[in-house]
Order: sequence, then C-alpha cells, then structure tokens
Amino acid sequence: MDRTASAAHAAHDELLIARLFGGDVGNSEREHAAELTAACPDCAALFAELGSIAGATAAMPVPPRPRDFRLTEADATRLRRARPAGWSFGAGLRRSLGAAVAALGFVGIVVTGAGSVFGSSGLTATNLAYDNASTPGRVAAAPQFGAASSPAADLSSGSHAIPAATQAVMAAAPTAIASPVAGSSTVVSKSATAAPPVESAPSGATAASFAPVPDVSGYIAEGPVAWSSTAASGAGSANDGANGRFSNSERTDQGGTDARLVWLLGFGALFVIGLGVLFVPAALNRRRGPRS
Amino acid sequence: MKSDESSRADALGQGVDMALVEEALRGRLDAFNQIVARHQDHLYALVYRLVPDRDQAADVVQEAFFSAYKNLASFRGGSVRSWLGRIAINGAMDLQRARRRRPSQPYPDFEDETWQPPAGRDEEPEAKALNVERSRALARALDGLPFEQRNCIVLFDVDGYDYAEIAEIMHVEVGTVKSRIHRGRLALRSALAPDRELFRG
Repeated sequence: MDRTASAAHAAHDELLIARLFGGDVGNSEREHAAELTAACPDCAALFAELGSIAGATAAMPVPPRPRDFRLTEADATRLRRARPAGWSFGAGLRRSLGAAVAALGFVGIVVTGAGSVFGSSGLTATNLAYDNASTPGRVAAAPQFGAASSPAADLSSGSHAIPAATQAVMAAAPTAIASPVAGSSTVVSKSATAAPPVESAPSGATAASFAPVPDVSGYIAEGPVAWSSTAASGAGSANDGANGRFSNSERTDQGGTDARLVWLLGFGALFVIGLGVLFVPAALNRRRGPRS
Repeated sequence: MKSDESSRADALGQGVDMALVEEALRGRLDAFNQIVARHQDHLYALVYRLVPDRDQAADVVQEAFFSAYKNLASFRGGSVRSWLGRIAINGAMDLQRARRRRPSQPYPDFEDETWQPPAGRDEEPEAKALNVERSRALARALDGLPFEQRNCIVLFDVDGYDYAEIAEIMHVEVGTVKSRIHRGRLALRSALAPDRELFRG
C-alpha cells in the first residue's frame, strides 16, 4: 500500500505543493493541489514539513549582537567629511551633468586631435610623393606656354602645375636652379638639374619670359616656396603678397587648421568646465569643513 | 495579517523614527544613535541569517549604519526600519557575492559550541536540546542553498517581507522571487532529509 502510494507520489508535482504552501496558486491549481494533499500521504507530509521548516526558520535563534552599533563622535566626524554638504538629488544631477560635459569635451579633444594627426600625415605624404615622384610627370604634363600664359590660371585652380615658361626655364637653365633663392629648399629634382643649358632653350619661349630666371625649386621641393620671378608676379592673387610666396594650398590647410583649432579649444573648454562642475563644489566643501 | 494593535504600534514607531531622522538631519548625533538603538537588534538578526558568521554580520550591520548616517538626507520618508533593512541586505548580498568569488573562505563551522540559544522560561532540557539540534541542522541546510534562494526564504519567512518587497530589494521580478522561495523550500527539505525526525511532530 505504502509502496503503491510512494510510486504514485513520484508522479506528483512537488513544486505545486510548495506553491500551495506559499499561497501562489490559481483557483484550478489550488483544487488540484488540494486533491493531491488529501489523497496522497506523501504530498500531505510534504505540505506539513514545509510548514514545520518555515516555522523553524522563523524561530531560528540568533546569537546576541557582539557589539553596540551606535556611532561615536569620531565616526560621525569622519562620515560627515565623506558626505559632501548639500548631498541631494540636485548634487547628483550636478555631478552627472559635470561628468557628461567633461566626457563630451574629452571625446571631442581626442577626435579633433586624431583628425589633426591624420590630416597632417596625409599632407606630408602628399608632399613627399610630390617631391619624389610626380615632378617630372607634372613638368611634362604642364600646359603649353601659349595655352596658359599666366601662372595664376594654374595656381588659382589649386594645382601645382608649372607654367610653360617655367618649364622652358627648367629645361634650359640649370644654373638658375643651382642658385636657389634664400630660404627655399635645397631639394632639387634630378630632371630639373639635368636640363640642357639655357642656350638650347626652345625658340618658342620669349626672352622676356626668362628674365629674370624663376626659381622653380619651390615647385619640387619641400618647405617654403619662393617664386621670386617676374613671371610669378602676374599671379598676385594666388601668391602671398609682394614676395610671391606660393600659398594656395597652404591657405587651404591653414583654414582647416584654424577650424580644427577652434574646435579643439571649444572641446577643451567643455572638458575644463565639466571638471570644474564635478570637483570644485566638493573642494569648496572640504575647505569649509564638516557640518556642525 | 497584522492586528490593529500591531499596526498602531508600527505607526507610532514610524512617527518616532521620522522625528529622530529630522533631529539627526539637524546634526544631532544622539538622535541618530537612538535610531540605531531602536533597530540594531532586528538588523543584526536579519543579517546574521543571511551571513551566518557573527563577526561578518556585525561588520555588515555597522557599515549599514555608517551608510545610513552618510546618506540620511536621501531618506525620502516611509519606514526607517525597511530603509535600514534594505541597506543591510544589500551589504549582506555584496558580501555573499564576494564570498562566491572567493570560496576558499568558508563560514565558520556551525558546530560552534561557544554559543547556545537561550532556553524558554519553562523549557524542558529535552525540548531545549531538540531546539538546538534543529537550529543547527537548519543553519547547515540554509548555508547549502544558493544565496539567492536563502535570501528570499529568510526575507519571506523570517522578516515578513512580501513577494513584491523582496523583488524590489533584490532587483528581480516577482515571479523570480516566488520561484526562488518555492524551489528553495523544496531544496531545504531535501537537505534536511537526514534530520527529518527533528521537524516532525
């Protein structure tokens, strides 16, 4: 009989009995659980044991507390120091805001700074490529003298194409290249230095175009570009004032740098403001001392 | 369900607590210490059942009172007893999590004979011995439960929190709390199978 009952109990849902004990059953479940506890002795014993265990748990004795937990004056002073004055929802909001602003500023600085680094790397790479490889090709691809008589046409388009007159000089006047204008770079293209003497200049180029000889080293060299010839004087709008500095692309770069600098300063200000909002009130409170 | 008398006593106690909180917020340490005196026994008993180590339970309770003092201004009314309970339970759960990460530090043996539960006034020696045995067996079985289940059972059976309050304290769904309690009770019963006779009759 007992064995039969136990075998039947194995198929019963003990969790349902536990839920019945915890008052966590619906009406239909309650009926089913009540049937089980009424018909199955093991289910009834389970229900009774759960009650007994819960009662024993509630009555479990606890050893007396080992000490008195009241705070001493020293504890209170230490805790008051740890507690900023005005610690409240407003203070929490202020800290959150400060942290958010500081984080925004920091991220902005990082992003803008990274942009600057990559931007300048790109420019440098372009210049190097220009110095090392593109100059002969560019000279060869430059427009003919007649087609672009003013260097301004090339310069204003942002291109570093060499005017045809200068090409002629490059081909004809190695001596001119050998005496660069002070301040210009000394890196000179081999194709330019290997040019034939001036006497073999093409007949299509006028003498007026070649005198004085323009220094083209600025085209093919890194550093400040000095284009001090009269041929360049016609490109006043594209060159940098009286000294004829070739500054078209520099101006573009300068504009980007200026904008980046403004952003950087803005984000820096945000970062500083955020830190100030975060830490200045706490520092002031610390100086003010604990609340009495 | 609480009786009217009990409810009236609770309301009175809450009124006293609120007055003491206001005094403590004005900087009176003795007012705060009166709150401590009113609730330290309850809090220690609660934490001891969650962290069955006297010293660690005492540390948790002390930290709970420190935290309460530090954050007194953030108390938004209601039951001071429940508020303190929540702080202490959170501290106990932090300790339990830390212990789970460092299982090489077990709780002290429950066979500790240095403390015996107080006997009832008319308690027979035999009944006293039975109670001691039952408590030890129960403490061992409780300690064998996952702490999530143990916490729910203690809060429900010992401290009288309801399902929703426990769910709020433990940051879980009500259904999860119910499941933990029911399954925990069944697990407790299985763990107590060798000592079943202690819990019959």
